[in-house]
Amino acid sequence: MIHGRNGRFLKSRTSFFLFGLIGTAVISFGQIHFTEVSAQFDVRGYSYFGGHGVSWVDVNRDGRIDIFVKNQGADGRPAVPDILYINYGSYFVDEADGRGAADAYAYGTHGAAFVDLDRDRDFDLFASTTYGGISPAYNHLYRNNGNAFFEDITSSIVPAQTTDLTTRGVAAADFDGDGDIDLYFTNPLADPEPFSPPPYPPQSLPNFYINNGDGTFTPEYRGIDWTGFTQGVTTGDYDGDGDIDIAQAMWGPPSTIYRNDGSGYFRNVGGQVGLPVTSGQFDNGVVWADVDNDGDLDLAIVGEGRIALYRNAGTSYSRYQVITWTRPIDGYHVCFGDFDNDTDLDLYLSGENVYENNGQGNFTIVPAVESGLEDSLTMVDPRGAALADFDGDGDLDIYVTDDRGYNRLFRNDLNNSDWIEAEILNDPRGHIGSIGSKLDLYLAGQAGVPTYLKGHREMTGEYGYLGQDMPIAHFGAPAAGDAQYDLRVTFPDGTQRVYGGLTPGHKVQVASISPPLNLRGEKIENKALFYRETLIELTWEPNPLNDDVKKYKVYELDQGQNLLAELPANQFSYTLRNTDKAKAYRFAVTAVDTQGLESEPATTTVNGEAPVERSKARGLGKTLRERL
Amino acid sequence: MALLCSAAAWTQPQTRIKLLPDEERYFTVGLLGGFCFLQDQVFRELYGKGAPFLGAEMTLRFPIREPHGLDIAAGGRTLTKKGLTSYTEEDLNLRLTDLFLSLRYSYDTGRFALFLGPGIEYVTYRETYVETFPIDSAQGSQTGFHLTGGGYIHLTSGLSLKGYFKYCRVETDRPGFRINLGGTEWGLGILYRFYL
Repeated sequence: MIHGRNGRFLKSRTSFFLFGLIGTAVISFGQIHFTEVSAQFDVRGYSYFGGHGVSWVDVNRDGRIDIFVKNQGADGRPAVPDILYINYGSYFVDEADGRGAADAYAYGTHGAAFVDLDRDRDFDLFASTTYGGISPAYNHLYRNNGNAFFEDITSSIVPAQTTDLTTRGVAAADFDGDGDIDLYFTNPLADPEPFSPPPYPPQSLPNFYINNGDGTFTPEYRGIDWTGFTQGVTTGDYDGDGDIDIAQAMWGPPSTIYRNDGSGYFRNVGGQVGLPVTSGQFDNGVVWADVDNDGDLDLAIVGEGRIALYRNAGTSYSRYQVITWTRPIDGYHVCFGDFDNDTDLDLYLSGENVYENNGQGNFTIVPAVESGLEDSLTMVDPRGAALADFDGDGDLDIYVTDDRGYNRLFRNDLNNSDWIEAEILNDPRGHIGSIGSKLDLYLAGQAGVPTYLKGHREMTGEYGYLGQDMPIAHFGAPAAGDAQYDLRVTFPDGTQRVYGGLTPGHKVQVASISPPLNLRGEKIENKALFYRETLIELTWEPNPLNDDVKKYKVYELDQGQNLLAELPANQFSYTLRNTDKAKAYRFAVTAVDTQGLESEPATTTVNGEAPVERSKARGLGKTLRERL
Repeated sequence: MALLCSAAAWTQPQTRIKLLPDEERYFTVGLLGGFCFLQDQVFRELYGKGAPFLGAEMTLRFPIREPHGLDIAAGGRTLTKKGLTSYTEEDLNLRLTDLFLSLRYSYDTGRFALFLGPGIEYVTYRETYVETFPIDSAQGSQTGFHLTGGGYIHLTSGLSLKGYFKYCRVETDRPGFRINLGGTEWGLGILYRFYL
């Protein structure tokens, strides 16, 4: 940014105009710059604070990303229920209480993740509980009814919890590869005494809720011992073997990686893959991200005044950069996002600053005076943060929580079309968001060629220290030279789908089965001499992305979803008989694959217009005349 | 009109080539057949231009001053026709039954006769549909009027051949839209005569 050096210059109207013009131009061409807008959008949290983590999620599926703030209570403070800020475009409203997502435990929540637990294409909530002296302190599951009203389904954990928990970070993924989302939580015990020095004797405690696929969850031990106080946790396929591994940040024992054996059992491989094995660190956050665009997950561990960056060399990690800062904050959370849409991931540290990637994964601080993040440096006790394009302008904004101050929302001021976003509406198992899916963006025509890889993302739940980004992958994708891109999506079951010829500036809706195309509806008059019947004829076209359609389902959308018909895959029309010619109708058609997975609906509205007259006898589908 | 023609005839004596006796009132019964062309556009779209019919009539003749006379005729005819709905092309079955009463002026030479006159029509209809159609059937009735004309050829003193034309106008709004059940009818008949 350009700043005036004397008051006289700034007082000049002309110079002020030039200042804005040049500034705008600089931002348009990729300069990282944010504006703090938490007061404008009224998302600052409680006046008595307590913010620890945040999830960006579209809970009501209205296309706008909402905010869930995970609040932690403390002695001497009022109870701090969690906050669910519903995004209404120009403002947010906290509706956690009314929607059943406030989570009742007096001492609040640390880790929480929104994930589709029941494969009904909405985001359910796994909210942890951190024991604070009041029993019971159990983790909670909440089922989203589809309209962002949450029902407590904690009783679906069988056998029921009997031990108070001190959960911090949580993770969600299909760990055992059976097609449904399992849950992992840290510190499965009541009072882990975090500040007592290790070592602790390892405890093999049930710290997974294994999803049985029938609506119940079974607490299980899956090989991750409790060896010390654990903070943030994240998931990813660091070794590229197709299953979901876990990394967690710890106090005392070294932060580490747990490798999945493919069946959902884990083994600590931290030392084996090159992570430190010495005890005594106090790490808060751990993040997997591909910072050098080579298609694998590099690692960042944050805590104790430093960010340690590890480069993935295939099967092992090597530390290559350490970022430190002077501000007296511990360092809780690191976000990786392409803030300037230049195809590489930049870095934001909660309550500190943004660091720009040089393309090879090396980071250089962007001074706050340039990045506009001066307000970030005033945060008192910054904790979790997360990224989302909450205003839909194609760049990543930041929400940061503060345990002893107001939360902050930093809006990215970038103004260009150098981006592509990909939202997974359903994977082959029917999950929205599809945790574990890998998305690779290539230059058009070069899908699969490593040198043309422009971004690698893996969908994850909570990461770092209690942050969860929007469930939409964001890529920087420069549009210069009319560039186009191919997006390759690898779903958790290994199946792939490629979306070719993507133009920057658009969001791609990814689905393992896609809705039919060009759904149209038309009212037609079917005549007998003494009876006039109004038909509605729906027609659609098969979606070329689908290669496994078994049938189509036709619904009437009228105060709910009324199934009208199931049609074979080779039928692309449906006629609804004897309708009201003056009434408007709304229909949806979905495609269903051989595994029973149903696509998102294609919808159409047939207005209450007079039907057209057609005669098959005089040529199929030929319009004779339209009635006025 | 028939009355006007009869009144005019009363003023002029005529010579008859006798096959029928003079100044006799007679009563005829006969069978009719022919082809009916309905005017309704939808009918024509669904069923085609026309349909054959069968019918019967009886006529009571009142001589006024030979060869002029006044006929009162009553009868009926029925037609059935198969068709297809306009878009789904499902089977349709239509039955139209028509009762009529006419007052005609007739000019009877004893060898042949001509007639012309108006009348009223009472049409009942029933259209039946296939199972997939929203309703099973539609039925009703409607009155209208007609104008008819034609001629007889007397084969014997008791037997005649008849040829005629009839224009009917019968419209109904009962289904919620207008249907014209009228049209033109061309027919032949054979009649037997009883002298009173």
